[in-house]
Amino acid sequence: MTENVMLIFPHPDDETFSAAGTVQHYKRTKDAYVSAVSLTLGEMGRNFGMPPIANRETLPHIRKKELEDALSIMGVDQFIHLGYRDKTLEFELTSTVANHLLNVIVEHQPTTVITFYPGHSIHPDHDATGEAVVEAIKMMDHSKRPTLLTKAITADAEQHIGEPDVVFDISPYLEMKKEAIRAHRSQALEVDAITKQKLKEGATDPEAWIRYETFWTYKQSEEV
Amino acid sequence: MIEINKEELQENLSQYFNHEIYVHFEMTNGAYAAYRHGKAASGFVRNAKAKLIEGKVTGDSPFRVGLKTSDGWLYADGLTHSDHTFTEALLMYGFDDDGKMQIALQLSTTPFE
Repeated sequence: MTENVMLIFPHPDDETFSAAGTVQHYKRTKDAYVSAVSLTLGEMGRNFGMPPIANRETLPHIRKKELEDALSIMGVDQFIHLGYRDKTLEFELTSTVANHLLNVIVEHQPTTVITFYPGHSIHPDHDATGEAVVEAIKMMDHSKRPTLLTKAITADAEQHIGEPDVVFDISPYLEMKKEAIRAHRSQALEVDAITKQKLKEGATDPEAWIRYETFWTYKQSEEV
Repeated sequence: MIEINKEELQENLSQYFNHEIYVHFEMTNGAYAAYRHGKAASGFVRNAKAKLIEGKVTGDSPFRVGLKTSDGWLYADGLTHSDHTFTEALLMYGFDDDGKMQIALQLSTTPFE
C-alpha cells in the first residue's frame, strides 16, 4: 500500500516545526501522499511580526496564506482546515472533535497520522488536539488504524514517556525546512523565542530542535 | 497599524459614543508563559455588547483608555498602537518589549467575525 501521511495540528506553523523534514523523508523514500489538517488558523497568536504585518482580525487570513506557502514548500499535497477557533479547542467536547477527525481520517485513509503527544505538548490546544486524535483512532477497527506518531515538546517528556522511538535527522532537508519556517512570516519572532528556550534548557546545538524531528509511536491501549 | 496619537485616538473614540457596539477585549502573557517564565494569565471576551457613553485616552505611551458604558466600564492600560484597516472598527493594541501582543481593545459597530 502506498504511504499516505496525514499531519493533524492545531495552529499554522506547528506542522512545519514538527514535521517539515519528516514529510520530505516520506515523500522521497516512500513516494507518500501527504495531507495537512489544521484545526484553527491561530487566530489568537501574539506574534504579528516586527513591525506588525497584521491585526487581530486580519491575522487568520495572513496565517492561512503563510500556511499554504509553507505547505507548498514542504511538498504537502492537500490542506484541510477544520474551522475551530484558537485557544478554544480544549473547551470543545473531546468527542465532538474526535468524531470530526474520525470522519476526516476515514475519508482520506492515512496509513500514518502525525500529531502532538497528549499531555506533553505544553499548549492546551496541542494537548487537546493529540487527545482528540487518540480518541478518534480508538474508535476505528484495529485492522484499519493508521500508525500514530506523536510529538512531545515538554523538556522533561522523556522522564515520563521514555525516549522517542522514531527520530529523523532531517539534515538533507534543513534548508527546505528553514524556508518553510520563514514562510510563516508573522511568526518569525517565535523561532528566536524557541531557540532561546532550548538553550536555556541545556541544548548545546541551537539548531537541534529544528534538525531532529522526534516522535513517539503512540500505543493505543488494547481495549476495543 | 500605527503608534497611537493621543488626540486622534480621542477623536476616533468619540465617534462611538452613544452607539451600541461590539467589544473584543483580551489580555495575555502567552500560552507558553507557564512553561517559559512563571504562570500564564490571560483572558478574552469576543463580541460583548455595550452602549458607550463617553470616555478618555490618558497617559503617554503606553496609553490608557477608559470608556463609560450604559451599564459599567471598559478599561485598558498598556496601549501603544492603533489600527485603522476597517472603517467600522477601532482597534487598539499594546505590545511587550519582545513585540508580542499583550492587550487588545477592539470596538466595532458590527460583530467581529
